[in-house]
Amino acid sequence: MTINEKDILEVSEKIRLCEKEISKGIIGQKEIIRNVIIAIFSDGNVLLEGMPGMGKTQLVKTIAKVLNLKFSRIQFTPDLMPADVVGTNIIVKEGDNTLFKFERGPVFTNLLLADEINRATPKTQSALLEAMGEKTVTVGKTTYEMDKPFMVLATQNPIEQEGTYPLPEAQLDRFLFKLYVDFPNLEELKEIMNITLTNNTPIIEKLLEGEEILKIRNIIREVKIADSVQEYALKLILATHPELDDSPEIVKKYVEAGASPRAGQGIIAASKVRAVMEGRLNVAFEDIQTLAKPILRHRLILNFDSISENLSTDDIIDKVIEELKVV
Amino acid sequence: MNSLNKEILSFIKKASRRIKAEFILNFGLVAIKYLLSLVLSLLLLSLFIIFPGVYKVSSFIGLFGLIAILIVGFYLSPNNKKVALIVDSKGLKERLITSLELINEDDNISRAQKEDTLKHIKNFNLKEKLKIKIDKKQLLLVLGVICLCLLTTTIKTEAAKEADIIRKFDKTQEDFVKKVEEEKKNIEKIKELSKEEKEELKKILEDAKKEIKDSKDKKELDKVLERMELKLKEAEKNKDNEKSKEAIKNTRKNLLEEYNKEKQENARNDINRLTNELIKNKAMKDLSEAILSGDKEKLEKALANLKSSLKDMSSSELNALSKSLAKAANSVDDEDLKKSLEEASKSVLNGELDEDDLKEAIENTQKDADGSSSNDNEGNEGSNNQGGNQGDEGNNGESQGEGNGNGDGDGEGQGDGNGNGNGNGQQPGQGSGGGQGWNMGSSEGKENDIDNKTGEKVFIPGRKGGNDENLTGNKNQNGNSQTVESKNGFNLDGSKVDYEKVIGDYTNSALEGTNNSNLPESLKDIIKNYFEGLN
Repeated sequence: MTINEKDILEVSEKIRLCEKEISKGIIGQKEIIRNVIIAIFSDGNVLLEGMPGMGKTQLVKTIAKVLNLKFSRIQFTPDLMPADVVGTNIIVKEGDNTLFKFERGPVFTNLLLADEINRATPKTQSALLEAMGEKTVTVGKTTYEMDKPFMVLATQNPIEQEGTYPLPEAQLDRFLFKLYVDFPNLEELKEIMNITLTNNTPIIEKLLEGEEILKIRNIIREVKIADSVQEYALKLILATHPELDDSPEIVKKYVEAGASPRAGQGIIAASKVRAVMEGRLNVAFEDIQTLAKPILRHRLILNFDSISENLSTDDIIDKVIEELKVV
Repeated sequence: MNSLNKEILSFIKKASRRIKAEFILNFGLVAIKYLLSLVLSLLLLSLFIIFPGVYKVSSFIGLFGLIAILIVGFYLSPNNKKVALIVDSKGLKERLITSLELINEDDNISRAQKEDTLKHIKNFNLKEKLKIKIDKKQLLLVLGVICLCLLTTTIKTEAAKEADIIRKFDKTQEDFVKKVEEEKKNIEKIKELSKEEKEELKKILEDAKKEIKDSKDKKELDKVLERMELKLKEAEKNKDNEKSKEAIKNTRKNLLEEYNKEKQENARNDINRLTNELIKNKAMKDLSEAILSGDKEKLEKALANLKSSLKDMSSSELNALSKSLAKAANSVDDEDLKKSLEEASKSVLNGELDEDDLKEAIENTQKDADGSSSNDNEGNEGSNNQGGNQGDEGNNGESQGEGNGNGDGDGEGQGDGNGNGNGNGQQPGQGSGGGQGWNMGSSEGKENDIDNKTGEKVFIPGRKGGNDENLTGNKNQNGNSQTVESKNGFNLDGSKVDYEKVIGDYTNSALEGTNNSNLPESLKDIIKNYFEGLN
């Protein structure tokens, strides 16, 4: 694939325009928008955590519109079954023949909003594992390929933990980012009121197609990363492992399990997207550091000591970044 | 290499110079701090233990350390990769390091990345963004340690003073060895001297060099030098040719003139400082004047008066006197004088004073100040009674009694300033009592092969157990010296015999001679102890 500076600059411009367009439909939440876009172009899934009514569904809808992608939404409930997600074989009659036909579930889309994902049972949650990781769905003996691009945007509520099933580690690891959707400030709230309660609904334009997204992904993969920067990213991942001698004291003290190699892949892929969004043709330490928290926060398992001392994974990641020398 | 790469590498080179300079500077400061701390600890150590080589060792550590710092500094200084990372951290956002890694890549994206880097480095002000900053904290620490080092060198403890003396002596010793070496070379160039004469002189100088090297303190060195001077004089005297004499004289002057002058100057300074200190105390005004007058009788009288006046002094007066003497001791450089004054300072507190010791020390310094101990004066020669001196030289010894009082160190010098030779009868000396024997022959007990028709002079080997006091003649109370004339001298008439035999014979003869002589018993004991000490 021959890629030149022009291609990169075009990509950079397109992503910038997408970001701007999405911001029309979502007031505030700039960081969330930016990170979701990064996840889209780095082929990752996003777990959004926030209170109800924070515009999570609106965000996904807007993204789907701007990127001109198919969009499905599944409201996860305790009685939701895997078949409700992936689909099922149903008996159909075709002429004289009666046969099983696979009826595709809502997972067969480009953008899947898994709303309140932690309310479904682990069995149902796991139905998404293959789709998220392999971009395929296996029903019976048949494996179905997902549409491309495919990404899951799952939401979960940080409160109301009763009757919920925390996501298993394997599933959490398949989310590139875990993003906290913060409450909007006064100005943002005002704007939300103006947009939603008046007829001034902004017109969201379609800027990209699915095919183009895949092309952009390929171009972004060509962005250069220096050995020392890559090494830094991987050292950061290793530093989250308490069992290693070199890991920081805080990790040894408070972390039970560190991030997986998938986190390393994610951080480098996401950093490349960020670098392009920043108009660079190379990854910088800053990209790694900025993306470290959303990428690692759901991958670290803290021990009881950290809970008792009210330490979050973000605190640990901050400390690790602080201790890991760049030069 | 394309122009893109060249420009990037040239930029890295420029940045590298500044970064390396800063690194070496700051690394050097830290390393120097530790180096100086080590030096400081050595200097502090030298305040408590005698460590004459402290400055040499410190200088060596300093020099070696600085070289090591430079080498290690260069070795540890950032390489291009690190330089690129450092520059990137100043706002280039890893563009430079990426370009550096892509230097051998020439695909579109790599080229685009390098062009992007170049665009950014053109706006990058190296001087402004990579300022060479010195770690002020480290600099202050280094300056602090330097100040402490300097301060430590100014502190003079007993150990430090002792080390100073040893250092000074070592320096003098070293200088003399060099001088002797130089003179040995010069001798070769003197046309007036025959080959044999040159060999003879070289032999004298070679022996002297060995003795200089072997000498353990200034006293020994002085004696060695005096002995060398005597030998040179002897050699000079034995020459018939005026030109040869002149050449030897010049050699002697080259070697010793400066040293003797310095010695004289130091002694004069000591006398001045001593009298300046003493005159401050009323009780010692007379003593101070007596010293200045150079009159021995006056000095003796002043000391006797001082001693007798001690009985009538109150304790506060004695204290003041002691302090004055202590100050005087501190002000002088001459070790003997200093010691005598220090002892006097202590003893006056008890109302006592060893006036003989003090008198002797003062007189010796006066002699040095007068230059009378120098043997440049031909008339003084007789004072240095050689082993083979004839009877008439004994007379010379008598005439020299008041002068420098140098007995010959070859065992024949018998104090009292007259040189108690081993040969020429008994004659009354002048009895100044200030004479100093310099009975320090070579410790190896070398045979003297000076070609002397009057018989070879036997140089008594340095005695391990003996000391010079044996030859100062202090015990002679009546001020008269005695010269024992004996036909049974220990000259070996030029023949060479085994050292042990010489010593044995010499000892037996000396003991026999003393038993049959009219020497006072105290002197006989000294001689007996002396020869016993040789074994």
